[in-house]
Amino acid sequence: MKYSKALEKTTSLVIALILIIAIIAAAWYAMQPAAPPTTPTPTTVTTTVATTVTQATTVATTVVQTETTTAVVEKVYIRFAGWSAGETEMKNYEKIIKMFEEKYPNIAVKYEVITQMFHENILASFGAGVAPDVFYLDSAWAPIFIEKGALYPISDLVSQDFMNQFYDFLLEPFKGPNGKIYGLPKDWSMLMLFYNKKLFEQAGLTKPPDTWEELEEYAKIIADKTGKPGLAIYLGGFNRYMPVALSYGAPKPWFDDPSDASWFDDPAVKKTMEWYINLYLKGKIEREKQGLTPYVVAPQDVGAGWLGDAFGKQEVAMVISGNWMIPFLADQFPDFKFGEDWDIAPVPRGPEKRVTMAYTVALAINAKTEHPDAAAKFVEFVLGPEGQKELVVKMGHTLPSIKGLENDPNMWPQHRKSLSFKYDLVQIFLWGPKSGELEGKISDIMASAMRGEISIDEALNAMKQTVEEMFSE
Amino acid sequence: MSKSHLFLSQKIKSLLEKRKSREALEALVLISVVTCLNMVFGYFAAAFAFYLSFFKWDYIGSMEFVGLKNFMVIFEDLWRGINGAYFFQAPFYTGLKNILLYTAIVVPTQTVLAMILAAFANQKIKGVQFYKVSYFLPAVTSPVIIALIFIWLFMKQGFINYMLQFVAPGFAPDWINDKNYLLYAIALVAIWGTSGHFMVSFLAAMQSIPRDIYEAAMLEGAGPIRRFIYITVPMLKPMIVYVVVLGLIGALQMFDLAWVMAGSRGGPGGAGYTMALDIYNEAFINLRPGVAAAKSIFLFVLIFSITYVFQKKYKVMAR
Amino acid sequence: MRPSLKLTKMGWIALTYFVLSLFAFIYLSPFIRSFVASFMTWEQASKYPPEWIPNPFTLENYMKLFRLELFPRWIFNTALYAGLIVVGNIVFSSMAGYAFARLKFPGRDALFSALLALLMIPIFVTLVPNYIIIYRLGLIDNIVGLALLSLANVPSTFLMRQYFLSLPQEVFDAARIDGCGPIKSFFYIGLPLAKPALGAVAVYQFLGAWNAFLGPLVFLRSPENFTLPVGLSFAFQRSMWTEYTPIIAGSLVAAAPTIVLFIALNKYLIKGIVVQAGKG
Repeated sequence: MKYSKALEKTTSLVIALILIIAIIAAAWYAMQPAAPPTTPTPTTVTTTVATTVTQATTVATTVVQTETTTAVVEKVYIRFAGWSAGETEMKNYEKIIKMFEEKYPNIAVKYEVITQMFHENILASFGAGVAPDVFYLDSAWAPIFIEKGALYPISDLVSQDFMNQFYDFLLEPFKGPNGKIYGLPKDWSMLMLFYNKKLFEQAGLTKPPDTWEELEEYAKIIADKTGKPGLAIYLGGFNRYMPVALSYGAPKPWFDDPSDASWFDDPAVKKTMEWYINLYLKGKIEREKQGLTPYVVAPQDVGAGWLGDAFGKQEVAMVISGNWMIPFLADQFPDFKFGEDWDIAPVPRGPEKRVTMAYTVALAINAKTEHPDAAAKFVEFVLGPEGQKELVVKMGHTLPSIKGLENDPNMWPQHRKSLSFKYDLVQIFLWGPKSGELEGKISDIMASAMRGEISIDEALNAMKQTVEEMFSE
Repeated sequence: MSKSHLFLSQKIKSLLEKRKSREALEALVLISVVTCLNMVFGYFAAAFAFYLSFFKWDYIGSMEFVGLKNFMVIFEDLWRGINGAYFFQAPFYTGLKNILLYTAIVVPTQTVLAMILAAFANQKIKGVQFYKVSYFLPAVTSPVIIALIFIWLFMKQGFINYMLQFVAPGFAPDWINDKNYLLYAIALVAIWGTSGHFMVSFLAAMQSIPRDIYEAAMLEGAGPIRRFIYITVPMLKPMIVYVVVLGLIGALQMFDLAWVMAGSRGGPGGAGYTMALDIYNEAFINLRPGVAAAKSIFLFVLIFSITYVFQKKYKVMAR
Repeated sequence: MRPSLKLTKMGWIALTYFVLSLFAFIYLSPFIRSFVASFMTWEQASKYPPEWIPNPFTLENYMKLFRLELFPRWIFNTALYAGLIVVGNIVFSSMAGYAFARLKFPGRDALFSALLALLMIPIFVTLVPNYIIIYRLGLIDNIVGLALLSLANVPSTFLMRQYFLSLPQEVFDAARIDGCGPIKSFFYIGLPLAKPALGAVAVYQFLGAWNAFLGPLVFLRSPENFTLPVGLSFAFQRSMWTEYTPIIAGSLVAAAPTIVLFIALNKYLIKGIVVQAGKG
C-alpha cells in the first residue's frame, strides 16, 4: 500500500473537518428556536380533505355546483404530560383521551408519562423550550410558574360556569396577581386522623382525640396500656406541623420577603413549635431514658418506611396523614379493615379553630402552546364531571376537585367520610414562591431539634435566618 | 558527514515520518466514532454547564449574567462549614466532608476486595462457577433496589445486626437512623455492590499474564500469596488504574444510594448528604441551575485533581 | 510429590473454599432475603423483626408482573436497547481503546484525558443541554435514539485501553516488523487477544443498559416505549407510596438474563492461567 503525502494530509484534514462540523451542527441544532420541522411530535399536521361542495350542508341545495373545492381541515396535536399511578390509571386516561378524540375529531392528544422526578423533567423541557401543551402542576410549584409567565391563563379560555364547579380554596394557589386562574385542580387530598380502633379499645378509649392536648394524652394512655406507641409523626415535616400553628391562631404563612421571617416570632408559632418538637423529645427520647414505651415515634423507629406503613402494620395507634393512605391500606393490608379495625376522624382542633392541610395538583396549559383552545377543551373534558368520575372517584386514590360528586355511588366510603369533616380553615400546601426549598430546609431544622441536637430557641433562630437569606438576594 | 550518509539519513527520516503520519491517520479513523459521539453528547453539555455557571436562571425565564456570584455561594458555604455551622447552614461543606470520607473508605476497600475475589475465582477448582456468579450478583441489580433491600437489612432489629451479634456481641447500631453510622452503612452497600463488578475487570486482566511467569515462580518455590503480591499485582497495574480511577469518579459523584438510603436531604444530621445530592437540590428544588453548575465545576475540579494525582503517582497513564 | 507439599496444598485448597464460601454467603444473603420476600405479602415482608418463611405463600407479586400488558414489550425494549449498546461498545470502544493504547498520534494523551474528564461532570447539570440536543435530533421517545447516547462509552474505551496496555509490547512489535498497518494489526492481533476484555465490556454495558434508569426516564415518554426499570417504577409507583414486593420480584426476573449472559461469557473472562500445579 502506498500513501501519497498529499492524500494523507487531505484525509486528516477531512476527518478534522468532520469533527468540527459535527460539533457545530450539534450546537446549531441545539440553539435553533423551538419546533423545527424535524421534531417527532409535530404541533400541526395538515390533512387535506377534498370535499364536493354539493355534499356540504352549508351550501344552498338549489344550485348544483359542479366544481370541487379543497377544504383544509386542520388536525391539531397537543401533548399532555403527567405522572401515572400505574397501568390502571394509564388505561383510564387512554380511555378518556379516546372519548375526547371521538368528540373532537380534529384534536389528537399525545399522552406522555413521566414516572418519577416529574417536575425535574418538566423544568428540563421548559429549559429546552419544548414543554408539553398540558401538564400536571403541583400547588407548591404554581407561584414560580405563574410569576415567570410560563402558564396560559385558563380562566380566559373556559367559561365562568365551568370554573364555578371547583372548590374555591383549591383554586387559590393557581390565582395570579392579576386575579386570573392559571391552573385547574385535577384532584386533591387532605390530612385527617387515622386511629386504630382495637388499640383504642385495649387502652379503654372510646372516642378519637378532639384537641391537640387530647392527642398527646391519648397517645400516652395507649403506650402505657398497650405497650405500643400511641402516635407516629415525621421527624421534621413543616407541613404536618402547620395545622397545629394555625389552629392556635398563627397568621397564614407566606414567605417571599426577608421580613416574613417574623412569622416565627408570632407567640402562637413559638408555642406550637415548642409543643410539636417536644412531642418527640418528651414522647420518645425522654421516655426511653426512663425505660418506658415511647408514646410518640417516627415511622423508622418501628421499622416502617412511612406513616402509612407504621399504621398498617399496627405498630402505632394514631397517625395524621392524607387520603393517599386509604388505597394503600386497602391494597397492602387487606386484613386490616376500615370501620372494624380502624377509622378516621378530623384533625384535632386548637383553641382558635380546626385546621387541616390540603394537597392538590392542577392541570396547567403552557403559555407558549400553539393551540390554547384545543388544550382548554381537553382540560375541560378531563376535569368535568364525566372525566373526574372515571379518573378520580372510581380510582379511589384522591378526592374530586369539583363539587357535587360527594355522594357519587362509586365514591369510597373512607373518602366520603373524610369529605364530611368540618374545618374552619383548609390550608393548601404552599408557602410562597420557594415552597419546596423552604419546606426542605425548615424540616431539616425541625428534625435536628426533635433529635435533641439543637435547642428549640436555636431552631427558631435558624428558621428565621433561613427565610431571611432565602429572599435577601 | 559525507553527502551519501546525509542522503540516507534523510531517506530514513522521511520513511519514518511517512509511517508516523500513516499511523496517526489510521488512529484517527479508529477513534473517530467514540470522539464524535462524545463531542455531540458530552462536550456540548459540558460547555453549556460552564456557561450556565455565570448566570442566574430558573429554566422558565431568561438568563441573567451574575459573574462569579454563583461561585461565591460555594465559598460562603464552605467558610461557614469550616467555622462549625450546622449542616443545614452549610450543606455543600457537609456534602464535601461526607463524600471525602466515603471515598476514602470505599475506593481502597472495593479495589482490594475485587482483586482478592478475582484471584480466588480465577483458580481451577470445583464449583468456582457458583462462587463467581454469587460475587457478581450484586452488580446485576439496580442500585436503587439494592438500597431498598439494605434499608430493610440494616434495621435496628434487622438481619445485619442479627448476624453481627455472633461476631461482635452487644454491637447493634441503628444504622440508618444514627448519624454516626449512616455513612458507613451506605459505604458498606457500595462496596458490596461494586466489588463484584470490578472483579470482572480483574478477571479479564489476569488472562493477559503469561503462564510461564507463574511456572517459573513456582519452580523458585514462591507460595500462592507471594505469587499474588509479586507477580499478579504488578502485572495488573493498568487495570488497577482503571478500577481506582472509575471508582474515584463513581464514589465522588455518589447519588443514588444516598438518595434512597438517606433521602434527598441527607438523613439524620445530614450524615448521608453528598455533593451530588446538593447539586441535585440546587438544580431542581432550589431552582438555581447556575449555582448547581458552579458546584459541579467545583466537584469536577476535585475529581480531576484527585484522579490526576493518583495517575501521576502511578505513572501508568503515560507509560 | 512430597507429603508435606501435598499437605500444604490441601490446606491451601481448604482455605480457598472457606474464603470463597464466606464471601459467597455475604454476597448472596440479601438476594436470598429478597427471593424469600418476593413470595410474601408486603404486610409480612416488612414485618419487624424480619420473618423468613412466606406465610401465606403467595405468587401474587409475580402474577402482578405478568398481568401487566406491557411487560413483554418492556423486556423487548430493554433487550433491544442493551443489544445495541453492547454491539456498539464492543466495536467502537475496542477500536478507540487500541488506538489510545498502542498507536502514536499527536494529542493522544490530551484527547484521552479530555474524554475521561467527561465522566466527572454530574449528570444533573448536563440534563438540560442533553435534553435540548436529543429533542432537536428528534430522538425523544425513541429507543434507538436513546441507545445512540451510549453507543461508544468512555468507560469501555478506558477499559479496552488499559487492557491493551497490559499486553506485552513484543506481540505488536512482531506484527509491525511483518509490515502490518495499524488497522490491520488491530483486526488480526489486537482483537483476537482482547477477548477477555471484550467479554468484560459486554457484561458491563449489558448491565448498565439493562438497569439504566435516569436516561430512559428522561428521554422516553410513552409507556409502550419504556424499558424494564422505568416500566416497573411506572407500574408500581403510586402517588405517595410504592408497591415494593412486585418491584423486588420484577428485579429478580430482570436480573436473570444478566446472570445468563455472565455465565455464557465466562469462558472468555476465565480460561488461561492455572495457578495450581496439579492440573497443569
